[in-house]
Amino acid sequence: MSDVDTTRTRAQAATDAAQGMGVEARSQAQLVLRRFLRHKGAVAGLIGLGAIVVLAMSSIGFGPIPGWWPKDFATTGTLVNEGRPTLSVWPSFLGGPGFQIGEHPFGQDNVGRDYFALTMRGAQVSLIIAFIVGIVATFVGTVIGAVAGYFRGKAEASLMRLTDVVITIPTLLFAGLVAVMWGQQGIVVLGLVLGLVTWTPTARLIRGEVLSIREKEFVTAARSFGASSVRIITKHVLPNTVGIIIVSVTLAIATAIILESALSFLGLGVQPPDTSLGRIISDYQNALTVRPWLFYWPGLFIIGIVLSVNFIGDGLRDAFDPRQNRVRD
Amino acid sequence: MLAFIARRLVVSVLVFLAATVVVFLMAVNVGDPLAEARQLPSGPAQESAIAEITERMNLDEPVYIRYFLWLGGVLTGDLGVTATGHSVNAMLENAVGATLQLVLGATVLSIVIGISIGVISALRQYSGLDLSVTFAAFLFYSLPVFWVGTLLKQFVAIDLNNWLADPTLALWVIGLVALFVALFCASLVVGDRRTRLTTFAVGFLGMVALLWALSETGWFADPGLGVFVIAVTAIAGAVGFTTLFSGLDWNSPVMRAAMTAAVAGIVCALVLDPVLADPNLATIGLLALITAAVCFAFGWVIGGELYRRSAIQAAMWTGLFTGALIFVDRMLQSFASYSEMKGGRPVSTIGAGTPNFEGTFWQSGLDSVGHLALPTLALMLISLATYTRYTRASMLEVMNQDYVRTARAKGLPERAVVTRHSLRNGLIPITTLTAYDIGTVMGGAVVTETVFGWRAMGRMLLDGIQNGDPGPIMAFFLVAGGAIVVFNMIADITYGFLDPRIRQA
Repeated sequence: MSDVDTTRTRAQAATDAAQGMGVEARSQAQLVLRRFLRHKGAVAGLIGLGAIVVLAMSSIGFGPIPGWWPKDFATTGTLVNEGRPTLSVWPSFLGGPGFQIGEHPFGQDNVGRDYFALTMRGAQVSLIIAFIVGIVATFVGTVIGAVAGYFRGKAEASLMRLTDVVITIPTLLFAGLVAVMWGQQGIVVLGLVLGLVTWTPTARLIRGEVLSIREKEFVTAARSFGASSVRIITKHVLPNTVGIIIVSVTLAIATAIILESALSFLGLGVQPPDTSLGRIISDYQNALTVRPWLFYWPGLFIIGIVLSVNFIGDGLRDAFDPRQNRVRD
Repeated sequence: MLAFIARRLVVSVLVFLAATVVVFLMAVNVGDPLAEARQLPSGPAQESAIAEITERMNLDEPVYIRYFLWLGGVLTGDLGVTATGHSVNAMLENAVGATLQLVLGATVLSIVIGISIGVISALRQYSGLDLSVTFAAFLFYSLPVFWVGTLLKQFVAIDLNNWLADPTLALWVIGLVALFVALFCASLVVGDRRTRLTTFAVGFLGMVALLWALSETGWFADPGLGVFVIAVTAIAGAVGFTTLFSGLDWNSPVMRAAMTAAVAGIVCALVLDPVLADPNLATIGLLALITAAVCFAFGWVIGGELYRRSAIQAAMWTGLFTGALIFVDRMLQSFASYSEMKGGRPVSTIGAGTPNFEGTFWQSGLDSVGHLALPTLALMLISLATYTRYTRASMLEVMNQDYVRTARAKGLPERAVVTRHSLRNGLIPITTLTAYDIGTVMGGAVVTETVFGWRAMGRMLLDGIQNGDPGPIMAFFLVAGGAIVVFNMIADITYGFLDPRIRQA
């Protein structure tokens, strides 16, 4: 039976191809991937973020795993050439020294610590916190939004009032208070508590989407088969919001990097001896006139990470919801 | 509608009360207010210090009693004392003015500029302008505010002050600025390549000539507009507003009303010279009200039955625009004397105002501007990007609606399609965005104030968190959270007013 079917399908495909009517079947995932890869900014963002993550994680090593960069971020040393950066990309045929990395590519700080290693450690910490915040905030937001949107009634009213209460507290104040109370226990805990105060935009987005999906026929059909609410939410409703969820993750990560660096800049986030990109900028903000490189490198890494994540998010949104990008008629 | 507003009001108050409970619970646990007293050598001195602070902050009471004591105080207008015994009311009074100026200035400016740029870039979708605006929005959106603030402090403030000592523009600077202005103009016009090239050339040459003349005559050291420039700009404004509200037609009553308003404004600038030498804020406000009323009358009378509505709009906008021109001119004219008072360094990097500053209305105005300009700019960049992106998306969505196609199909001019049908509907979702954004701006203000060394609400909050002192933290929250609640409520009510479907929900 199945052999006959396959033969018939093949014959049909051959006929279509011969008549120039062949249409290759693509799954939803393939369509999304194709649209994402066509978005140049998103692909550039993906490459940029990937490069920064690989550089930050591999160079100075992570935990017990050693990295390929010989220096660490805590050892002080003697200043070479006033601690100027030795990285050079000025090609030699234009009169420059040619491409070289040198002893201290990003320079040294005022007590001779290698600034490349320090910046890499800061980037590691900022990235870890941001990814934890992104996942926690999206998870909490999705659960609250889905429950509120699906059950309506009292559950929705109370959850949305809870969201309103959290929105009323300025994020920086809320995040600053929880960071000071629990952030001392390490960067993972800091990421968790920051995630617990930044879930509100996701919750509102998901609720809005679930409100419209729950009225669709396939939900009614599932309910008439006697499917439980949990099954309907996880198997029928949430898979249809996967685009919003993925975009929310990227937006939450971008917000988290900025939020964490602002908190660390104010002295409320990551505490010494550990460091993060915001903390480094705060430590060396007065160096701008004498040692400008101490100010630029961490800032450029923050911008690089956030810009990449934002472009990826934009590409993903276009890929999941191409209607927004329609050209005007 | 009244029931809708009342319901929103009750819900907002309850939500705000619940939020104060949450923040209070965290504020009393954030640190140890006795930490400093515990550092003292143990003995009667330490015990009396601890007892004093305990007594002052009611530390011996359970948390819920302390909350109700605080709430009772707030309801009677008393925000309590800090751990060191200072009155929080006095602290807040000193701090709140500067912060609110910063926050409101940044919000209003980013709304106005962000929405304008967003609308333009949506109307010219996928043009060079649109692509650059989109990219710039992404970039601004990704900038950490403290990093930008420090850069602005270093390069704009210090280098601008150095430049003002000998304000001449190098030729390449003139060329670069003119190139950008010309590119912007060229991307605005509609038409074929020839029109664009002409616009580009005219814009470029005009800008080069203007900048060169300004630079050579030393205008930047002693600026001002003068009656002639005010007159020309006011007339141009009249033509512009008429075009916006009813289309370009030299003989229409709308144009005559706007022209009358412009001419009246120019005459007033000459007649009111003694009043404007050193006015106060009340005088300026009164003048603005009179201008609006007089222009309303112009529009009413000259517009006649048929054109009344657009004539009133055009006349009032022209009148207020002319008034703003005169205001800016006065401010610019006192720049040279203000610069001298500040020892030739007018742009400030520290603080929210020069201490004990004495000067005319215009000079103190410039003093505020000089201190506020950079923090406002730093704070603006982020909200600006948000407003631009959302306005663009919202406008594009509206421009694809069927009623816009209908409006075009029935032969309305593009101007009417954009201003009457698209803009009004496209801006409805932006009201909600404003409510969201105000919280972010409040947080950003804390960071910006830290960078620029202001002693305002940001300092108060950070000191409160560091000392484990609930008084200042709660005072900050009352202002910031209050602003968020009020903005949310206004946004909801406006939304309900603009979109009847919301009211029934």
